[in-house]
Amino acid sequence: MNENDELDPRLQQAGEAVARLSKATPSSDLVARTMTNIHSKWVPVKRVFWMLRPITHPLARVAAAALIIFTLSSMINMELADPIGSHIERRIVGRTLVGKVENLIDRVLVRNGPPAYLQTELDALMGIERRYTSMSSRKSQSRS
Amino acid sequence: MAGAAALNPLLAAFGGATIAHHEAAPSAKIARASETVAPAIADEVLFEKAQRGDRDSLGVLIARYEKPLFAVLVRMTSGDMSRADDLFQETFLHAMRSAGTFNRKMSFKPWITAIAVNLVRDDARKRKVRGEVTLDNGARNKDDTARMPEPASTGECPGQSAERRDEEQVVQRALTNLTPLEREVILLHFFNSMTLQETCETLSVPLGTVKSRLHSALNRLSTMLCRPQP
Repeated sequence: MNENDELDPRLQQAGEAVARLSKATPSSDLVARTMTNIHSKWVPVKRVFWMLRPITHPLARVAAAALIIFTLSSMINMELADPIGSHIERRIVGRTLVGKVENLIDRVLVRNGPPAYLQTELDALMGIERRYTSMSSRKSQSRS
Repeated sequence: MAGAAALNPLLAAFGGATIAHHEAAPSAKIARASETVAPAIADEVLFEKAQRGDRDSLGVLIARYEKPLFAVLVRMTSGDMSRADDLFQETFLHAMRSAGTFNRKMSFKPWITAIAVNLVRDDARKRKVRGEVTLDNGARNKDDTARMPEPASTGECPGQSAERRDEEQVVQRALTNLTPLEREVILLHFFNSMTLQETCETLSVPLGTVKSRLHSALNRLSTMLCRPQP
């Protein structure tokens, strides 16, 4: 049903007279001129994931630096860092991956460096009790 | 019904005339693209792509609104084609800059039309401050109707064409005698073929207000059209 059906016929006719008015033809280059105008005055905003955006506010920068320092400073304490590391190893990263990373680091560190010590020797030296033994064969080879 | 009877000769003459069609712009490749290549893509999707820097989508979108929006702007500015041209460009520039205000639950047409209407109001206000025109009466002289676009030729004889032009002038003169708010609502609903819901979204007023404003505008318009012309 037409929205204007409710109107009085006299009013409908007046409205129709307006509807029948001729429509002006725009100049042929209006679209092109509009686009040129827009591109000279407007640039698209590129959306960046919020975690990748640089921190621009001075106070926010100070807060971020303080947070990083606070987080890392607590890692000096082995009693705190060790359970956190173990937790990350067991629950988040996985033992397989940790074994591989340890293996890689050991190989890099001992390649041309001073004589390597076994992990058990190092642990004994630092008084750390090993909670598990890696089953990786390459790891044991790298330390021998 | 006496008024209707008096109105009939004029309106019947209007009814007999064919609505003017736009002639195809020769260089509007994008306009043709909007009709043939991408008829199914919604305006909202095109606008989102344009926001990300897609020039083609922006071109299609502008071409899609070129004729209807320009025609409304011309009528709202009482036939000032160069002002309508500037306002059309400003409308899209403003839309691109204030894309954040676009409510994605709304459709694009009322939003872009609302920008155009607000720019027309601002422009009229600035011109009033500069002393160029007054908001209500500036376009009421007869010279303004002379600036209106000529009805496109539809193969009718010169006599009919002149008659139709005169009749258009009568309606245009009656329109310019309405208040800006009445003119807006009547042009959006009847001339721009917007629904009442779209009209109220465009003007940011309740549906009841649009209906009452439309009713009073039509009442005044029909009275002016019935009155014998000088």
